[in-house]
Amino acid sequence: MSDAHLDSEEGSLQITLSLGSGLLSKVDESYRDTSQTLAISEGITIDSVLNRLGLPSNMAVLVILNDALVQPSQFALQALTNGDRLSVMPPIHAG
Amino acid sequence: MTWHGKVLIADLSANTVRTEPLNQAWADEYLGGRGLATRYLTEMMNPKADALSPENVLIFATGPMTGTMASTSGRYCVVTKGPLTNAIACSNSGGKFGAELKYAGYDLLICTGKAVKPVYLLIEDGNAQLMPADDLWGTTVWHTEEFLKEKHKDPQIKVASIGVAGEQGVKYACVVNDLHRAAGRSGVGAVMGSKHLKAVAVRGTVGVPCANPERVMAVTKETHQLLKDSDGRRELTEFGTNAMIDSMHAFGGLPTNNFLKMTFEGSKNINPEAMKTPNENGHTNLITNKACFGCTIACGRIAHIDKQHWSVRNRENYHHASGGLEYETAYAFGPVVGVDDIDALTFAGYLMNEHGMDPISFGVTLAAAMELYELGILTNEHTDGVPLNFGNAEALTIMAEKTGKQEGFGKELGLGSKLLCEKYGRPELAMVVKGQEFAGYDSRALQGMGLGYATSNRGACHLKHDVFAEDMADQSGDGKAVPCKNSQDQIAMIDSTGLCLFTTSAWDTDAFQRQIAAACGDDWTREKLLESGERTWNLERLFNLHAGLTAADDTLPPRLLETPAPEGVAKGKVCELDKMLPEYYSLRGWTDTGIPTQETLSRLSLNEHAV
Repeated sequence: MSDAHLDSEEGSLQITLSLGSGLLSKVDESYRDTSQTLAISEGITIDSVLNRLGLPSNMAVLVILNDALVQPSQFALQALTNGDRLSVMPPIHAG
Repeated sequence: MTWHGKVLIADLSANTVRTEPLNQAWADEYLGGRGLATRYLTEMMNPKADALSPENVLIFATGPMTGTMASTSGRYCVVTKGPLTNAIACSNSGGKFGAELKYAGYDLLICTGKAVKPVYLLIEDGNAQLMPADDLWGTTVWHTEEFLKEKHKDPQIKVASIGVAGEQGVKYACVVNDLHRAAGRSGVGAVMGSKHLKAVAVRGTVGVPCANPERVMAVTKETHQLLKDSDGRRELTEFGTNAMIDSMHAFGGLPTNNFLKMTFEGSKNINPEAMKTPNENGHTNLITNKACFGCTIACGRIAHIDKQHWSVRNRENYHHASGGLEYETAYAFGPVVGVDDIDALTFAGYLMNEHGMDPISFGVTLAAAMELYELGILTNEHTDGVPLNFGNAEALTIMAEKTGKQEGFGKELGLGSKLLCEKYGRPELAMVVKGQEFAGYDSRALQGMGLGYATSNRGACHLKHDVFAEDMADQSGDGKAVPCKNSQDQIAMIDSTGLCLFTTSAWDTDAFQRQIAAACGDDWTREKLLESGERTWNLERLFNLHAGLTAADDTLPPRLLETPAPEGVAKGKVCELDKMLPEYYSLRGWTDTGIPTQETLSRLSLNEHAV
């Protein structure tokens, strides 16, 4: 796991972010780690995190927050809090 | 039309081969591949016959698109009665063998009876002959392919063969073609072995007939572009199917330790990132990706094992590149047995291909044995002194080899989970439907998958329905019957085309229709295609009912129906099969005991197959 990211959007809260291997080439270079701690500011939503990662806005992803599936319609509404575990994964299909 | 109009019949009992005209009326009803082969099977054998008896019939079937210029046109099916399930077996493979069979001038190959002594079938441009295989019997798939290419002095020969596992009746032995592609499931390789048929070697230069090549080329260009632009296709090309392992772990649907758990922390050590990251010796597992015939996806992985790894340190014959981890092999040698040693997993995959076994069924059977061991029911005395604890990577590779060679405890593992667990008095530990082991999805987290598993005609299978989108949207059983039934029909159609299922991230039914209409004629409308898929599904069901299966076989193990999910997004849930199954039967037009009604039989022109 990499250290907490420090950038212009840094905040006082920290979440644990897991990224699927299949997404690593899609996110900005500084986030290319399957497990990392992310510093966030109060009230930030899942949508904002996805945007910060640099994922294309129309890209289908599977989002799990603290063992609960989050539907895409909630991405802009679901705020994150300190200690949250957020997983952003490729969608599931036959393999 | 893209048919040669020829079916090659190999009568192994009589040691003869002959050519018969393709039954075009059946091709017009069932399209080709899986559907057409099912129609021939029902005509040619008694469904009650023992799967490993000479009465069983083994069919290699191409589809109308096999060998054409269409993207992914390398698919063929092996259809027979399966020894693992005593139900119909339909196993689909890629590689180059299917297209070569078509190039040699045949649409289907049907093998009947049983040879007195081991034989192989040599097919060259419209000519076929059965040849002695005494020298090959008892050897591996890899040796067989090399030997036949050398013997016939033609490296372009395509070979489908079995290993010792198939010869000796391992219930989940497969038919391997092109060294590491396989008609993998349900034990079709054991049927081939029971017939003393070691291999089919094909060389073809005849090509594929095509009434309107300009139109086929135009629609191929258009559908090729759809694939090229698809995000799903890009993911398969770049990461292969194993990209799924991170998602299933995060979701909490990744069967671990024989389904006792639903997440696997070790998945990070066997995921696509691990495959391309150098280890402490500087060795990188993944070499490149690989495509089957005509494929513009190339989801296959080519890997190699670290020469310093304990599994192959003194075994140079395993230092070459070969088939690498895909999602199902990663699951079956990884989480379900609790192992996260990427080289051990890759070696186990090599052994499956070399000896001709289905990785899913082997891995899940080993997982059941590990649970029996941890319960104290199996001991070191049973297991040749090998501790079968979950997570023991050495046990994985030792048992893979013992099973492939049918030595020691490997003989018991060759029975499959159902018979193994029954033998040791704990049948509920077998993670199977109709005797066939589950793929890497826990149906407490994916409810539609549970319904698909339970109703699959070939036993538990993840590739005969597609309810993933609905299962992601909702973790209940509500609304799963309709997409399950509809996708089963659609996939039965796709399996009959000779094209690959992994195109569906880009191709909808209309995209398949445009290709089939160009190749086979405009009477193949969208409606007719889907009806042919539904007809195939129902004919498979009727075969199984005639074989003696009943609605009682459309079920799941108690662990999935009664034990709440211990973790993940579905924590606390069980599979709601009792809610989904009656709705599914009703949608299918079946009675509440799972038998197609007279109305359904009439609508699908299946009256002559009534139970």
